[in-house]
Amino acid sequence: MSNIISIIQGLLVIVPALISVAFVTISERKVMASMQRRVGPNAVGYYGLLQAFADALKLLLKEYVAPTQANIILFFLGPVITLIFALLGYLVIPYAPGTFISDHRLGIFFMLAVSAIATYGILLAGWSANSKYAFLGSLRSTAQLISYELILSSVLLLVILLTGSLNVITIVESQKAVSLLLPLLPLFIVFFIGSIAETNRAPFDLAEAESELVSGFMTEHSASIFVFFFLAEYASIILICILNSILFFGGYLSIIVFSIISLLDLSREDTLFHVLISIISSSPINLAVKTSILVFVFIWVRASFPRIRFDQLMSVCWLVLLPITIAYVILLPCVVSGLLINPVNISLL
Amino acid sequence: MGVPFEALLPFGIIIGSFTVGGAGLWAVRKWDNEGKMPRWNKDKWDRQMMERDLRITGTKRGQSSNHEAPKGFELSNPWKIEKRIF
Amino acid sequence: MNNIFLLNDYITNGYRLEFVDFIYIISILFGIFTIISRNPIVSVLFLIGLFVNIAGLLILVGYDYIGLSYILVYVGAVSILFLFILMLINIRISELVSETNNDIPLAVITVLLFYFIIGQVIPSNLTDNTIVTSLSNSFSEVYNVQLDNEILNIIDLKQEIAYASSKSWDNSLIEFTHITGIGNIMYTNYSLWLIISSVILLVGMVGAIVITIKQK
Repeated sequence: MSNIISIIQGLLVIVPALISVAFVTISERKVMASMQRRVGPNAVGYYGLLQAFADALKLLLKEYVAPTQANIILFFLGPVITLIFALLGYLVIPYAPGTFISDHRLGIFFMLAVSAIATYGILLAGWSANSKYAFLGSLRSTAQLISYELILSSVLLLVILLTGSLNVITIVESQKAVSLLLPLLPLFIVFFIGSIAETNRAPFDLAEAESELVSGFMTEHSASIFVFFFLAEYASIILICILNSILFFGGYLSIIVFSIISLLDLSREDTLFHVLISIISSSPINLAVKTSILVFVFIWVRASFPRIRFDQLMSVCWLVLLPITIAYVILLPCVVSGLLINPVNISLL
Repeated sequence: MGVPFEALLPFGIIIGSFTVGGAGLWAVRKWDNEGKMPRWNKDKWDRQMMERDLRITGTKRGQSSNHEAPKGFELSNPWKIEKRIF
Repeated sequence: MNNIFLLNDYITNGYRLEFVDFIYIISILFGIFTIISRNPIVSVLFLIGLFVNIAGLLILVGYDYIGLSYILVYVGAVSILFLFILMLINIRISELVSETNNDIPLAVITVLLFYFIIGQVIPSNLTDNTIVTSLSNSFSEVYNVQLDNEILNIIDLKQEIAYASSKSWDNSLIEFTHITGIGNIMYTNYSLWLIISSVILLVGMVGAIVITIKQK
């Protein structure tokens, strides 16, 4: 019985994630079409909403071709690793207080470790395809990922300092008073740039620069294993948007409603209004709205900025973002302990 | 000025699917946990108290305001036993 | 008249001894493949598999922080740089034809001898814990359902038990997480070693920079 329940719980997380992956692809195409004054896909389904499913069906029905000299095992293992570890990150995400699959004590750490392993899928796929384009793409992608992971984890250090826990729900719940966006606004910008680079998105999509490398590390992959890569890419985009909204926007907490609650008489809990407010104040819809806005910003960034060169990418990481982050990592604990405002986490007392 | 609403429809579906999934997960977790929300960030003390609740009321989330422990409570304390290896 | 009920240790979250054996076998295989693979990239991949496996073992036996940081540091940073460098070097497989097979019997004999001697000395089963609950007869109806997984013979049990311990409540008031414990030790008692190791790391970093810098 408990096995069935945990399978249901897994499905309830994975299926919405995959559905939203499908619709993120459509929304990307539609939004970019609107920004570029085009119509975009509008043939399949109402307003082209089923375009992603048509594409996936087409890709699944295609014949897959593996290069002759490719290392077949690694060739197929790469996409699988990427997809599995992109989806494993959803394990620790809280949708509401008490609504999670895993309440791991080191949830944030788990997400970092999982995304570290997901890098291997790209590296393996690029190397095993025995193609220069794929290989160069995977090397670029890996160098980019391990450089920008440094920034992400340094920013995470400060979030952990301010919230006092690596548990994701504790991080969310400690933002009830004020979301961490306010004290860490410059770091949010750094983190957001880092997350765009971490997901290989434009303007940092050097790994699949069409003009230089045909399609990057997935040049040789076709049909269903290409779908794997595609799903993994967009799943990691949604995951990192969720991570952004958890770390800096308070996850499932409502931004506005809490100020209303403080004005209310909290002793009367029987009114329908109060129940409604308490549901709205921490519910999955807040997380979904914040995530969608961030996904929109991802698409917006892609439509707005031209692709930068690879040396620019690396120098932005190592010479601009990382010094800022490290300076903050030194400054903020000094400020916190100098002003004697050590953040105290109630759950740790 | 026409707002390109078509581009916003997928976002509505994303929000909807996440909300439905989260609500479903919420319902399943709650049903699985005897109608209460699961505890989060449990430390050793919480786990031990939940075990004590199990011994008192028979379920991990059950709580009893009875001022006397049920019969046999003093004997149902689990003992950890190392196997003899020497 | 008391009944004795035996139940498996559920605190370990479904952990069973057999899983550890499974992981041992896989990691031994990965270790062997790391050595005998011709292709250095495949060899490093097996090494990464070994790292992940050991991290899984550490997480399984309860050291989550160590296990996850193992993945993060060794798999996510160190091995990926190995792999990166190896992929950039142009290696032809034909250049790597070195006869390594003649060492295998020696290795097998050494390992077998080692484990034979070790197996004589060290007990095979250190982790086989069970919890015994002693219940009064009148009450056992309630707990029978949950608790008795297997009822063993009491006399055998007495022979097998080394010692028994119960939960101590006052120790559980404050739980040291692994991070707290490690940090506490590292920054107090072993602070000198921390400083020394950081100096070593700094020297390594400066050395790498000095080697690669262009002399004018």
